[in-house]
Amino acid sequence: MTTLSKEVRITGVALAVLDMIIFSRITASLIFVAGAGTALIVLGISYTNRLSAFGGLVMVVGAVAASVQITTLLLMSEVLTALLGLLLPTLVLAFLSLSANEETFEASLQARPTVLSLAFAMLCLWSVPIVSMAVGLLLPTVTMRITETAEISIVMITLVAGALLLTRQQPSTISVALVRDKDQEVEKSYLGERTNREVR
Amino acid sequence: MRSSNLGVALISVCVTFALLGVLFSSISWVIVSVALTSLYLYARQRFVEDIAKTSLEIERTIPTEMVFAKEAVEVNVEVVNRQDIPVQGTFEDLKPENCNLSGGTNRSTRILPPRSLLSMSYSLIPQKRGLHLIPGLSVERTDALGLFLENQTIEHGTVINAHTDRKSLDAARKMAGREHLEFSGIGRNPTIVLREFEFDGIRDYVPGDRARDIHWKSVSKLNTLMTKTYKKEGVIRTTVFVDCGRSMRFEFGGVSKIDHALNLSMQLSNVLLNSYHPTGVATFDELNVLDKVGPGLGRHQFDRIVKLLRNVPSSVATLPNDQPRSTKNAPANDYEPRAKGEKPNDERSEFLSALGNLPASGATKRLGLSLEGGIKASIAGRRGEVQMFIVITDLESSRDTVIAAAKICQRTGNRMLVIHTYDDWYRKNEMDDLSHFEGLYDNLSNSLKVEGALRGLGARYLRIGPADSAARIARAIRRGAT
Repeated sequence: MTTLSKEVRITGVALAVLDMIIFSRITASLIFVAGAGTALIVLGISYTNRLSAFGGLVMVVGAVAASVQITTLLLMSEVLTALLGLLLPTLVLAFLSLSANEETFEASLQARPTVLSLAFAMLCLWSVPIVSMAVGLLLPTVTMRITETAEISIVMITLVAGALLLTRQQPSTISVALVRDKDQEVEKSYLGERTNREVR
Repeated sequence: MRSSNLGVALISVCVTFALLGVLFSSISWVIVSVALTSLYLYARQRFVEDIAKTSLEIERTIPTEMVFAKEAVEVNVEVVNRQDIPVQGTFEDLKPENCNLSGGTNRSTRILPPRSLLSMSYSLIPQKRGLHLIPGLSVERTDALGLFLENQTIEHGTVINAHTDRKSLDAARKMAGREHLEFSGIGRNPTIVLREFEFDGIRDYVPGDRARDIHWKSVSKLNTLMTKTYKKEGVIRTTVFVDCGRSMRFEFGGVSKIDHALNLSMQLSNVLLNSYHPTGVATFDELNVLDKVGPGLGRHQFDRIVKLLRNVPSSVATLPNDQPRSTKNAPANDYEPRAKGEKPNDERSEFLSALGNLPASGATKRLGLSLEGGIKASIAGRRGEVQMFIVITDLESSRDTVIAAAKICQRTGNRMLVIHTYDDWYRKNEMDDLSHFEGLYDNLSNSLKVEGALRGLGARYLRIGPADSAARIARAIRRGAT
């Protein structure tokens, strides 16, 4: 478990936003929106206001998503752009923004949840090449053109199916190590007690 | 587990971005949606694991030794987080029904760091006598990113056994000095004789009589010395039997027969104890004698009685029409005294034999078969000594057993006083309903029949309502109104 101070988180936010901007073709107006969003996140972290940080997050990722040009997920360069320029920075930015409610955030990247959620993200990202490869292997004689809309559909189907699968697990009950129940027992005399009080 | 408002907002943003991706045929919007969904799923998985790992230690203490109805009772709760992960959320110690929060707070919203302690202290006011269960501790947790909420109740209750109103106990203490109940009888133990002597008659003087016992007024008339004689006024062992049957426990319009009976038994027993009559209390229902404190004297006898009465079952609030009035099933309630020597019919025999076969094991040890059994046991324990049995009952479910007990008392030369908590007088709310007036005459007629039967068996009888206090009853008994 690592403790993340405010300064570390603000630095992380700045790096994530910078990374996204580098990979995007952002316009001046969208830079303004992204800047305002970043400022909101920084203020949210500084003043431990999660809602402000969340608003900033939506502004930044909206501005960046509108500027990054990804036409297909069948090209390696495009996939890397999507991964390094959009997916990972968005994950980091969202994680840091939503941790804004605390002075110091205990960033415990527990193995199982981290692996599962990253695997889910990777599966969504690589779902289009996987489907394309599967079609090529299973039906080699068929020539199939995967359009942009088809790619979006494949990613979204994977997204919904994966989300449904991962939300099946229900929480267990809180374990109570020891509950000591001290029910009152009237062993002392009521009248005796009263007499003692009166004497006092 | 459910999503918090922030979680719902995040999912809405994901859906919106996905739709924008479809609308603009842009994969980048969908990728952002994937990233935010991944974070949402990460938060969920992590929260599920955190909950599974959570281990709390809860300690609830009630420092007040004797809890009274309508009086604040302090409750202290300590929660220890035994694991290395913080627990974030709202901790609430659940309030029992019929209890109001009077002070402090039973709720705390905070992050409970690993291996740390949370203390809460608050006061409850039980609104009525009886057992009040604190159901447990509710923990409404939020995850570290604020996307999920989980409400869990740790069901481990603590029972608060509230005794009757303190005013009633104080009234018992005050009454003990003012009122007294006297029943003539010969005590076995001369050291606990109460008022020494009571005037009995005059006889001829015998040398050795004390000068103060000479009847000086008769010297001038008779010209001889006469001596006043006195009869010893003794003490009598008394047991107050409180009916805890089903009909006694029903509460109509805030007036409960069992609560009234409990207060009366406590106050009367203290009056008797103060008059040096060895007094005990027993509770019984349709089947068993539930609990008993044998007649006795001493400093702690009243405490023992108070402690026993604390365990009397509480009243049950009902709607006015829940409990059928006795007239609605009139054939079953019309009292027809059984002829002497008549055997119980087959149904009764079957029922009684079924009761007799009930095992005595279980949570409540059986002390005898209802009132008859209790009285028989008391008489058997003190053969040859006259005892007094005061039975506080509504004569609804226990009519036959009270009459049988009166027969036993008559046969064995013991005394019995039946204090009848008359059902109609406890049904204030129903008196607005004209249809109930039809039954009043029948009820009273039946009650008079029972009264006649009891008086015929040598028992004393007193019909009371909710307004009758113990002092009033004691005075009525002294005046011979019974």
